[in-house]
Amino acid sequence: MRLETMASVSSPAGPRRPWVLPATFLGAFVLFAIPVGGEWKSYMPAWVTLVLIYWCLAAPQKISLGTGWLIGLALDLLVFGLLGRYALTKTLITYLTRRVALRVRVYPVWQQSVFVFMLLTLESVILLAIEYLIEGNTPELGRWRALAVGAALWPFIFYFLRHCRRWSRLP
Amino acid sequence: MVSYSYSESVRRVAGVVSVISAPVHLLASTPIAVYRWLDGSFESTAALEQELAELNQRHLVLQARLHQFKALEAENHSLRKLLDSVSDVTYRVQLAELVDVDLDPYSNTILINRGSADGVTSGLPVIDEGGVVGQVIRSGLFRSAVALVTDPGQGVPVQAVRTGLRTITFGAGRDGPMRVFYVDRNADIRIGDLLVTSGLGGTYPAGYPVANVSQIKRNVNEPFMTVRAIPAAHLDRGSKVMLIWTERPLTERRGNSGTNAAGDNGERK
Repeated sequence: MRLETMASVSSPAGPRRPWVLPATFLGAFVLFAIPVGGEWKSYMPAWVTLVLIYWCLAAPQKISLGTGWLIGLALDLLVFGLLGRYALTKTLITYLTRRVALRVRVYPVWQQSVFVFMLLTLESVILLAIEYLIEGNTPELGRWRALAVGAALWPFIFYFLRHCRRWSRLP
Repeated sequence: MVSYSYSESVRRVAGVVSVISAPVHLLASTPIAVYRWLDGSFESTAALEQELAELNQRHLVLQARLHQFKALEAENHSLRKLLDSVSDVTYRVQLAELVDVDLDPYSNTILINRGSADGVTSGLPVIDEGGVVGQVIRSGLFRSAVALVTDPGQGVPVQAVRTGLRTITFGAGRDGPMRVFYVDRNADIRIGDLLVTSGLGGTYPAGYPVANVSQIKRNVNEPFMTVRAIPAAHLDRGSKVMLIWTERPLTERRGNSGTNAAGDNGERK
């Protein structure tokens, strides 16, 4: 009886769909890996980071630091890259976003975009620094485009994922 | 300059665990596969027949050349025997296909559908019909990442066919032509010169085309020329590559461990 009321409080109607959260991450991974031709590549935003930021803002209790780290590690394995590169940045983003989640989630969406832009920039800078230290690659300036696209897409991603979250009936 | 290394066990575990990325890669490469399939199914029979005829003709020509090559190889072998130089290097080749996914934006790596289960290890050279593609840098169980010769961290020891001049090429990113280093100001090099692997360093077997010299700039004040070259391999098209295993006689074989395959990543800067 009591259990029933608890359940009915957190999920007002119908069953929960807990698989939606992992599915959004899977979608982000696929978008990340989809081959895009030549110049379009530099416009591809960091999908995984955007999805991660959303869930950290909307459901911080679902994404622990460990989850963030695991997602980063999975991305490292996906790109056959240096192990721990993305794991580091994703953990950092999880930490920062969770820390300010309660403040940022009440901002209007365009202000969240600014916040997202800063996070994306931070991640990009860390990735570049690692690349520079290890490979000696000089940074390509074209990268800022992906950051701008990511921030510009944030409102759409936000509304889409909010729809997903409500549909999945996560708290 | 920072260096990194994994222990053998971490590398092995990572290789096995990277299998989980297979479904993602499969999903990501679906759009292109569908596009290819549609593109292929609308091709006319006449065009296919013509292509077949062309391929047959090419096959005949190559076959004829191969016979000649075999005779030369036998001659070479007997001459070497006369000189008492043991250099019975044999090659084993395996075809691999590119997996149509983007590994990392801005990385100069591609993914192929062969892995440690097929005996692929890091440092293995990869070529296509045009020339040298690159070398395997990480191998999973069924997939491997190949660093292209256009990667700024990849150096290939080369030799100009016309003059025998030895240098090293370095990548300059996906779009730019490759850099050719250490070409003396007075060296004999011309636009159009073919650079092939020199076999020094041991990663790439000798004689495969790497690049064509496309630009030469002599600087009066500097000891070396600025030389650019365009990769010979079809890096942007083509979906099939070849892996080459060099099988040296036991006495010559040397330990090939570590991520960087000794001198062949060149001096990293």
